[in-house]
Amino acid sequence: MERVLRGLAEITLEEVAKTFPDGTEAVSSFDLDIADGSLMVLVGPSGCGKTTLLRMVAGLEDITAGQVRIGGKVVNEIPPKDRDIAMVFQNYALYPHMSVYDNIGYGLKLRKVNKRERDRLIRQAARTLGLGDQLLKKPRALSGGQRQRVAMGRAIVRQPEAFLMDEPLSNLDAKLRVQMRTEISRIQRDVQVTTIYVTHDQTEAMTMGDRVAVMKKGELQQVDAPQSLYEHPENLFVAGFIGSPSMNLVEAALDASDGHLFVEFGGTRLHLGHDVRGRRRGIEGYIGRRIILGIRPEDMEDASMVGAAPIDRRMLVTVDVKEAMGSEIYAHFEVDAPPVLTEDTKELAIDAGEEVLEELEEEAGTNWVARLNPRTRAREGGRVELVVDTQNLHFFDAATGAAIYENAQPETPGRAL
Amino acid sequence: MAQAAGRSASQTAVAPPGRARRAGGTILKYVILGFFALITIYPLILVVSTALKDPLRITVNPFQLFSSWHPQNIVDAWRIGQFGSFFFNTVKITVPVVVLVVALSVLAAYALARLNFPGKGLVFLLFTLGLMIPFTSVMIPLFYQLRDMGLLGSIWAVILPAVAGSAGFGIPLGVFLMRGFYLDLPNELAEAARVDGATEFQVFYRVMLPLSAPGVAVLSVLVFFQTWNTFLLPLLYLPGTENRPLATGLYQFAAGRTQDYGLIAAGALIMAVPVLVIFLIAQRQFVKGVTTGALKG
Repeated sequence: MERVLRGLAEITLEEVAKTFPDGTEAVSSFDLDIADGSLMVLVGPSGCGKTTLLRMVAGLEDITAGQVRIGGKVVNEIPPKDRDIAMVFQNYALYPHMSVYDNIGYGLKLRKVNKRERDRLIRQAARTLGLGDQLLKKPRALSGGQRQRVAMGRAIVRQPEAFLMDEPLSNLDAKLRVQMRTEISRIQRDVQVTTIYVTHDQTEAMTMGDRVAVMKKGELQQVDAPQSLYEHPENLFVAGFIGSPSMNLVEAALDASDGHLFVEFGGTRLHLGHDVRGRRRGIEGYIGRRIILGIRPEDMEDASMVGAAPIDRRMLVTVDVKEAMGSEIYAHFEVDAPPVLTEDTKELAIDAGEEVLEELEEEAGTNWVARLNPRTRAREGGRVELVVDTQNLHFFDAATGAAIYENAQPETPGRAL
Repeated sequence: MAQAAGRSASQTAVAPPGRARRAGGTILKYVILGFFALITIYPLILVVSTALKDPLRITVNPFQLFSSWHPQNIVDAWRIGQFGSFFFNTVKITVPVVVLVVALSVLAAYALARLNFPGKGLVFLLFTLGLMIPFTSVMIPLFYQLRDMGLLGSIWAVILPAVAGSAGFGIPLGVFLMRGFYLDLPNELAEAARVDGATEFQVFYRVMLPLSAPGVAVLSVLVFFQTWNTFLLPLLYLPGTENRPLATGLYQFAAGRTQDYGLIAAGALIMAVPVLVIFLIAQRQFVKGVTTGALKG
């Protein structure tokens, strides 16, 4: 699809806040820059304010404080119809009484685009989305995936300054979701329209976003490229939210003896080499104190599968459940240390379900997952020795939940990146 | 296995009496239903039949159905019995009432359901108040009021109170009914239209109104029935013959010196047919409208 020449349409949020009439603070002092033509994903558990934020950009929600700028222009007081944005709703919100053709073309009609031009644009959009044969049907005659496409068509046909998408795939079944995910990414890349994409699904966030903004309780936790979020989470919340299976966490002690640094938890003692200490210089300040240790599932491996696995970086575990995924094996086991219960981890548990939090609070041990080589001989109920890649360990301040990198100080943890 | 076969065989053996009993039950059911259908429908058929019988036959054997063909009754009722003029008077009253009630109710209901403005609750309460005050308690004061306004005897003396709900189905019930419809429609549709570039009025007119079509149909039909048949209003406020509608026309005609049942039946037929026709046309929409509120999505 051709791109109409237009000015840069970056979206800027400056100290944006939303307080509902009942006093609920949905979004507080939120700053975000979305570059022209890029796809920004807002991700977070339900109720974190991501949809409210999107609706404020759309103009469907009043802005309590701060500024929203689209293409450099402050739009706070501009009604949605004059913001030149298009939105894709979670339930598609297609007009049930109009045909697919009219659904797609309604925005053009309202903008008084003449009939011939309108027809051309509608057909072009329909072709892009593979809806050419469906134009005369009513939405109720379409499948979920087709409805989703019509909703996309309605957005792209207007060639707006920005697309706003509110969990557009959450009503589709798993297979279709993956397919449409790729398709939306493709369309967005083709039309190069600045896009804000809201989702609670971290996989969608990771795969689709040029950049991803992680939100919790109306506050921005971190915004970065997907891989950076994964590798350098700024706090426990981001660490636990991004990644599937999620990062394993445990409260650990950091102690030094003979100039060597060890991290110790539930009967396991891992040696931190100089390379680790060099990259995480902040941890020196935590020696002799308790910290929270994070290990990604893929940073553990069956020691017998690794040639010359170092002896000082191992942990002996009993496998509870083994899940064969084909290309890998998820081994679930329990670490003999109480689960990490901070505000962040509780929030994550609630997102998984209220009962998950209750379980977490009751349990004595912590459940971990390791992603192992499929040829591992680990059996359910059997003991297996795992070797830990200490290069990729994550450390967090036990009190604040902030990640410890180069310069983080125990008392005043600043933003590390 | 053998046991099962034996059991099924014995079941087959006793089946015929069971089937007979069931058939007997069905017949009884139909007899009862038929009886009630008959006592409901018979008078209606009798009216149609009487309207088409010649006067002699009516007096000789009033209950015999369709014993002669005499459409002259209808022509006479229309011309001599003035039912033609009653008919047009009824149309003159009913059409404006339906248009006004539907247009005003739909607008008010939409505003009350989907827009936010101060005093919304109070306004809605005032509308529903219209449902709670029985017409009989205001009919005398209303008479004086209409007289002082110089409206007595004009069609407006019926139209205005009917729109206000005095005939049964006016703005109060209209607002009540339509508000329910608009509350049920998903908010995202309005938002999608707003983002698409629609003004508030376009959101209403192009999106919400078409989607409430079943509700509008129900409301129109109900208002039409009620107004077409309203009796007390014209009886009180249209004393002359000039604007007399069918309801009071038929009453005056039957209460007068005429004992011509053929003409009376023809008059009743003239009054009933449009209602039937409208209902048959609107039936599909009507049923849809009555059920959509209950079953969402």
